[in-house]
Amino acid sequence: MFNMIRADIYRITKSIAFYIAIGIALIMLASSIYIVQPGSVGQISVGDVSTTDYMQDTIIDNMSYEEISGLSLGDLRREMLNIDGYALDKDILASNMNLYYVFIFIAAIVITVDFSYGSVKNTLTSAINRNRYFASKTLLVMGICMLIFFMNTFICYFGNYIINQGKVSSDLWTLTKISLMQLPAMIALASLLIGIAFTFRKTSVFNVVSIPFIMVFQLILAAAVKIFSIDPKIADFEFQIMISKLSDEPSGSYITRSFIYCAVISAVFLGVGFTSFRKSEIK
Amino acid sequence: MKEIIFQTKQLTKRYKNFTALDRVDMTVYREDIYGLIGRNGAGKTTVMKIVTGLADKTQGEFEIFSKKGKEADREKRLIGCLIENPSFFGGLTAYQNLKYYALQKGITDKEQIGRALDLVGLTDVKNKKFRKFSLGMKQRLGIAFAMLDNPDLIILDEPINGLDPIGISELRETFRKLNTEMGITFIISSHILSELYLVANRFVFIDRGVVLKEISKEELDLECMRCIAVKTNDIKGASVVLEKEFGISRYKIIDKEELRIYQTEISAQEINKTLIKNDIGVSSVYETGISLEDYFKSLVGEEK
Repeated sequence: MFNMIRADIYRITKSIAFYIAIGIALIMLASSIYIVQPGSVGQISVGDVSTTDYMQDTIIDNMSYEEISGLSLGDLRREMLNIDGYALDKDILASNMNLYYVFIFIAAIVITVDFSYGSVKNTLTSAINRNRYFASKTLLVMGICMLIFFMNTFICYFGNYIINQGKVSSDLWTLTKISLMQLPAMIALASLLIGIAFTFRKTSVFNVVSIPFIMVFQLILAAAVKIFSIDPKIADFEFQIMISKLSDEPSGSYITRSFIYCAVISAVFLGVGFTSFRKSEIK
Repeated sequence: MKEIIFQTKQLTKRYKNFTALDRVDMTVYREDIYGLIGRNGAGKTTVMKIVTGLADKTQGEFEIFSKKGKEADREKRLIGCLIENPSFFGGLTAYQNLKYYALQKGITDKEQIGRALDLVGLTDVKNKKFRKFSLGMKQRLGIAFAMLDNPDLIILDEPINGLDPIGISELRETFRKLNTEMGITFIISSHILSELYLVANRFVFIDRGVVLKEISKEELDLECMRCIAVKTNDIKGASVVLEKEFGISRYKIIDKEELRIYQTEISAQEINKTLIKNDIGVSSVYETGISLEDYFKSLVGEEK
């Protein structure tokens, strides 16, 4: 199994897609730090600055929505940097759901590419059996995703500190605590992708399923709350909300319930992926 | 008695309403070059997929190096395979692809990759990306992969597909060399009998998932060779007369009513006349012998 992981590390470091994934994570982080807006990728357009209600209500409460909308990107950045006690890095970690899209790249590079090229046959016919194949791929995806997750935390802290001269910084211990709180959710997201990858196997199908998966999950949850009159608090366990809540001093009971929920999600998706892979005929 | 290194017993594979393999029995001895012959879709690849763990069997069993089940799984290190098309990472070079598998297999001898590439004549293009390879080059890389770990048994599925005549001839020589010099056993599938005939020493004919015949090269030669077939109710008497009157030594008794003479310098008419003169009842004497292709067709029931 160790040889298999070593071989895969050798392979993916030769792959441009791996560096693209890392690059995307860094660009998302750098843009968030520079424009001083957490998780705002996709919400801001230069020249026509708009912010979320959250930004307007909680951060720049001394300005109207129209005033904010009229600001250039540079002016908005200056305004944000002048807010007393604001911790950008903490808010960036609250929007760590963005990493899901980086994890998609990792799962594709490590798992589905092998099936798409058909090279999985070479491994299974000569090197290791399916159980070990599944275990080593799972460990590698998990390892890389968690490495990216923690690197994201520390680069976020130091990047924010350097670029914004410590004006909107939290402390490293607070960020480490937030990361540890979010760790089960990140493991669940990686497990979910591993499960999808081993179930559908081909990269094209994996992308079609995994990219909209979280959005579809959100829609289903919202619809279920409305249609079946379920307690809306269930929405607190939707991944995006959960990751955000876990970064903001959550209650002990919420931490416990979210950890259990993440463990169940991880077990279910890894189980489905393994069973599907175990029974399949490799083509 | 040669050591059996691979054997299937009543191996069966069913998919819902389709039987891909039906009670297949095959035996491969050490140092054989075993040809698996059948049309496209006959079940050749299915046998190989089950043996290598890419598909599960429905019934029956197989042994590799006298090991069954999970124990057989552990013997994979002694097997080199190329199943269906050669599949490698398009963005990696030939060398990088082989290095990836060498790392997987824990091969520490760095020279091994170079030797495998050299064996199939890919040394000059070792830094070329796999996606830029021609089909023939891809096949060669697949064979280099199969040979990477100095296996005892190499399983190759249609290895000559896409190769040019020179490439096929070179590959044939490589198989022979590995077989004779290193004692490697081969199982090679193909739908081209004439090509397989040039390299294999034993054959199994398979069609619609059923083994039609398992035969050695010598037996195949005898069955296909031009000869005179004599149908008689007195095989013993006929053979005595033929030996005494014509000095015939190259003949074979096929069954209790037929013998075949492989010395075609004597005419069928002459043989008939002599046997009758010696009171041997002859029902027919005729010249026979078929090409490999016709032999294959006759086996699968597509005679002219």
